[in-house]
Amino acid sequence: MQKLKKYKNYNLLVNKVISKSSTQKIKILKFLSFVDTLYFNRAEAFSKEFLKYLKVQKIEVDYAIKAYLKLCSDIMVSQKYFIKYKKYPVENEKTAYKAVYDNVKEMKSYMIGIAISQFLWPTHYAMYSFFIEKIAKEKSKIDSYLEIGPGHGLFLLQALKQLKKNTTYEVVDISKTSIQITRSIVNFLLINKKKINYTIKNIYDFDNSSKFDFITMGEVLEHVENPKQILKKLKQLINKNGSIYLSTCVDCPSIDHVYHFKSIKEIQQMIKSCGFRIVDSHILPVEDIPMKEIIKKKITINYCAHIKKIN
Amino acid sequence: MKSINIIKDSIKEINLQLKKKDKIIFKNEFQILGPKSNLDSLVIVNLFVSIEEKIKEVIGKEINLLNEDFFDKAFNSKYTLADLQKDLDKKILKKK
Repeated sequence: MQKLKKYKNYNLLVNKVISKSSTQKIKILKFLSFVDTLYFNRAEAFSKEFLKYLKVQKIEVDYAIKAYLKLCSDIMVSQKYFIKYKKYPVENEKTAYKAVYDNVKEMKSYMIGIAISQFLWPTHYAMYSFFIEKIAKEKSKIDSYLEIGPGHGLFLLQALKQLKKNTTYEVVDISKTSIQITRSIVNFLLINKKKINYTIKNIYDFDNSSKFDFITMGEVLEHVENPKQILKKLKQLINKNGSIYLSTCVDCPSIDHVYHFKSIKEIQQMIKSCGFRIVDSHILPVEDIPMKEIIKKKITINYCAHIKKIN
Repeated sequence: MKSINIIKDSIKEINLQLKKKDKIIFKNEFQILGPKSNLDSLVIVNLFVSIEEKIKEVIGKEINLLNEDFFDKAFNSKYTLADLQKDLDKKILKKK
């Protein structure tokens, strides 16, 4: 691919992945054949900083590529289980916590793999773009920002770059390793240092005396047994005119997904039943085939939404 | 039932869902994963589900083909139908 060669750092990451995995090669090259220059610029900027970050952290690039491929193979294993037994391989939060969030080695690999996927998977990139668009639109109204489950920190970094100078930041995650990774990535990549309050806590136990103008909660709902309870918690945490970015997925087996959303409608109904209205949303199937087939074959659909509280 | 026949039956089953250009060709050197493979990950998953289910019907026990050994081999060089047959024979022998 000629165009890719112009973007040195991104080209390095892509080539290392596609030289190892034929399934990834097919998907990635297909995706890259229709993305625009903005995409390549963002991907190159990310890759350049990410490779620098890996170097400073003394993490080999090959380790990062392995982490990404492990993420892909873990998904294949989970898909196989899902097809065979018609349910997700992980049954409860406790199991996921023990196997992933509280497992330093596993979590580190997972976070690095997910960070790379942000610029290799069409649906992950689409959700990232959707977030950038929403935060840009709302930024003048945001004085307080909360992110739940920041993981690789790329969404938080966007907020830190775009929001007003005096915005306050609160970050909550159940995993100590995840918080450590978010903190180290943000500290490394953010030029103008800002004060961020990091809390290792289950969101259910997060003190809700403070309210926020914007809440980001990407890929969290499917990780819990009772997503409705989290949405109700969000309602307590959001300011009257505040707004929320959230994402989740349908039929998406993984090593730590617990709650199985069976349709987009189910997600939307749950959001509405918890007192929110959906301002905008994106429905993103992971395969490029007709929606009818996606539903019939139970292929993963990513979903992201910009929602507001019904006052 | 021989493992080769199980693989053949599963390939037939999976090929029914694939376009002509994407079909799995039943020959030893056909790469399931590797530089010359053009199989989608979901096709590979479905192929392995089909084989594992057929094996379960025959020997009454679960086997797991999509394991660390598979990914190690596949990501570091290639994994062919011949490799699959070899692995399958090994697993069947072990479970008997």
